[in-house]
Amino acid sequence: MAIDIEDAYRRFGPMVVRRCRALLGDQEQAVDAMHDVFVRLIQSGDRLDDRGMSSLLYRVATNVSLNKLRTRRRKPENAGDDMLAALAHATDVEESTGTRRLLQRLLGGTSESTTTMAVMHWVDGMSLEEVATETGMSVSGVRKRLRILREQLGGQPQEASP
Amino acid sequence: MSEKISDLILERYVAGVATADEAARVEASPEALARAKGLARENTELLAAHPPAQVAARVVRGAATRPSQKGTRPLLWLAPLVATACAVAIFALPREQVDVTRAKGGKAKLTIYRQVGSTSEKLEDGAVARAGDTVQVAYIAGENTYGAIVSVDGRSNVTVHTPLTDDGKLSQRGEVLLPRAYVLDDAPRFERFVFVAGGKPVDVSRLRELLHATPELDGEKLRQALNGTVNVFTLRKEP
Repeated sequence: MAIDIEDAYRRFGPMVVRRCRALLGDQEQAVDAMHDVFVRLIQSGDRLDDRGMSSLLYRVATNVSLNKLRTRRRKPENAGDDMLAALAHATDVEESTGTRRLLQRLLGGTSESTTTMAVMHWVDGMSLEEVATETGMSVSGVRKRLRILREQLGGQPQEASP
Repeated sequence: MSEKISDLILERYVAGVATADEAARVEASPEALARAKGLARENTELLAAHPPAQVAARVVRGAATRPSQKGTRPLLWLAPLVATACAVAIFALPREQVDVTRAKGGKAKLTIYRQVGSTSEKLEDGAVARAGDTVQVAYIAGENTYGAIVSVDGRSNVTVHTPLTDDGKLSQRGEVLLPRAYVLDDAPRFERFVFVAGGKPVDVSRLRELLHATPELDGEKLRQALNGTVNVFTLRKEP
């Protein structure tokens, strides 16, 4: 079975570019990140329907952008960037200390998936229910992961008021 | 006040993969519909600025040269030909064929795959091939640090496929696909692929000279001349 990368790009490429641009704040870097996202799609070898592919690409675009932000370490240019920088840094801390394994055990999964959830909820404004649907977790599971991550971030960010 | 529609749902709506419920939510919101129209318009602009064939070509090259996070490698066809291809299809090998942990250690190995429609087949040494066949070369370094892959055809034309790095080192990531596939030309009789590997850098110039002078030089003589393990894979050419 084949992954037709040209077809996948035609259908979801613009979405990926926009997702990366929203997080990176730069069109050129977003296009560069988009290529990385599709490389990951190939390498995943996952067999997906159209909806599954859109979900995967959106998550991978978030991860790739966070990784680039972490590498770039640019100074935040607006309030939203503060949040992204904190989340990118949170992943960095996990990877650079011996607490990573412990944290992953606490989180019950990869740190990358948690930061993706955090971006969806705290940056994109998606509800816990929507995040849970996208990530295939329970609402309580998402809430727990985000609570632990918030503690790692020193109590920030606060939950949005209903 | 209209319901907040997330960017992801809106993207799905524009891509035509939203659920009925998601579509209904979007269509109930004039603000969301306006955003969707804007996204659709930008889609056209982005696809014009970054044409699918070009993007696919770059992605294919990237996938061929970067390590996979899952430790698997896709089989990539037509990397140098995508500019003229109607579509760029990436064919994932079955997991067991590219599993890194199984492939590490042991002997060097050379494998040739051939594109067959939308799938691929693993060829046996001595298989029949024809002009126009697209083949993908892959190797496993085994315990060897250095190596080179060269091919020679029935007209004594020699093509150097590797080393891919200046220091001549082989990748140790299990089965490694060369970054490009090859379309066989109409050279008669055979196409021989020779993989020489060892603990020291391979003298590629010497290998090239030997094969140019004697295209069918047997593996044992190559081994003696180059002091390395030798894998030879011959495709028999038929019209």
